[in-house]
Amino acid sequence: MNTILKVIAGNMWRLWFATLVTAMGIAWVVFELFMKGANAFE
Amino acid sequence: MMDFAIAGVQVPAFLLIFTGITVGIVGGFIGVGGGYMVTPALVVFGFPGYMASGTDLTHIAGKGVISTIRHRSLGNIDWTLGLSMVAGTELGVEIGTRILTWTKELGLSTVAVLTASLIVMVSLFIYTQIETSRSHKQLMAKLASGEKIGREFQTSRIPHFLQRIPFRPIVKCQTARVAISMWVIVLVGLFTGALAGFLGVGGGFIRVPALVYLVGASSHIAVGTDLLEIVFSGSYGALRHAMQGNVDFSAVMLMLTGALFGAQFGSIITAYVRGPAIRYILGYSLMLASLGAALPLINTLTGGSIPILAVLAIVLTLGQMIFLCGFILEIFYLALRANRGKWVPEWVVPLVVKAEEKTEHIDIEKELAEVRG
Repeated sequence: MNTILKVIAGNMWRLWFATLVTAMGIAWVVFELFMKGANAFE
Repeated sequence: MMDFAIAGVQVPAFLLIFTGITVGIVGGFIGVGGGYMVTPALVVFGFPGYMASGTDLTHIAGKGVISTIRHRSLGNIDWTLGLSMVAGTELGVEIGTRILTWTKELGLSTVAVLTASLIVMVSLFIYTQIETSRSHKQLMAKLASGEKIGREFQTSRIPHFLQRIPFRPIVKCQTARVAISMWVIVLVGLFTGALAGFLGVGGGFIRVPALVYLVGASSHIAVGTDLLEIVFSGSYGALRHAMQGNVDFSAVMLMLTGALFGAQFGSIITAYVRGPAIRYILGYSLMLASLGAALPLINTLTGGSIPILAVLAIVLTLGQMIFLCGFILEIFYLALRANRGKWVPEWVVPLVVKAEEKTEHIDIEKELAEVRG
């Protein structure tokens, strides 16, 4: 556990970046599954 | 898929509950209503624009009550400061709305609003980020030298200057431990309210930094007090929208079901962190909201000729909620580890409050109660 934490959360910006990429990835999957054709600019 | 007859759309119910939970956690933690996240999300889900604003604002009013009750029990609300600010804020919102109508008459509305919100958010993000980084580094140095630090630490000098302005009446905000001219509080409320009214947002992300960097309240008090204001402004907005039939109550109820859990959880997490952690998350939320404002601005300026922008806007709208919520939960997990005496990265130590420091905080509350009583 400590090793995983050291790798991912050892540096604040590394954790920040990992979280951001994961979040945007999940959002992309949700978009592909449920929101094809939606328009954010309406 | 659930049918929302008033809005005339079909949306999976879990998406609305999920939105309620994530925005609830973020809102309860950094003291914002989250309108800049939820309104675009509802538009993405297919709600018409006017319906998205009304439904969002009604959900914010309900969520504001939940978070305020929780923050009250945590001792994070300064009633004197909050209620003094409400007057200025309401007047400011009216001024801001009139300026917006004026820009609409000039034919500048969309570009003017998007550019203004972009400038405000980017400036706030840069200032918050630089200040919080500086506080974080100084906290690390102080803790390394064995110094005892309270829950709040900030390096801005502006509050010292504003607290010295001698115009009567001077208000003593006991919970926030600030004595400041009422005029400063009202003017800060007026200015932040005008910006919020002009940008068409609740204004939490402007008021929280203003309460910290102008009035000099601690981040925790700023969050609680701002949520108190959101109860007033959100309720009024919800009432106005409901009277015009812009609210889909079944969607509101689903989002509030999520918020019932999220808003309380987000508020409770503030008890486990120091001020800079709250300000870091506030900064990130400002950064993502700036990006969210930049995409439609580019889309308007290019006349919608870049189709990928619409996809990016949707991913960003959903992604920012997940990111902010995820980062808050990660800090909470690390705070729990630190409390149990387990290993945590060095950068986490100044951002979280350990169990013994929390006991010290309770003593301060007792002391304040004695002063009051």
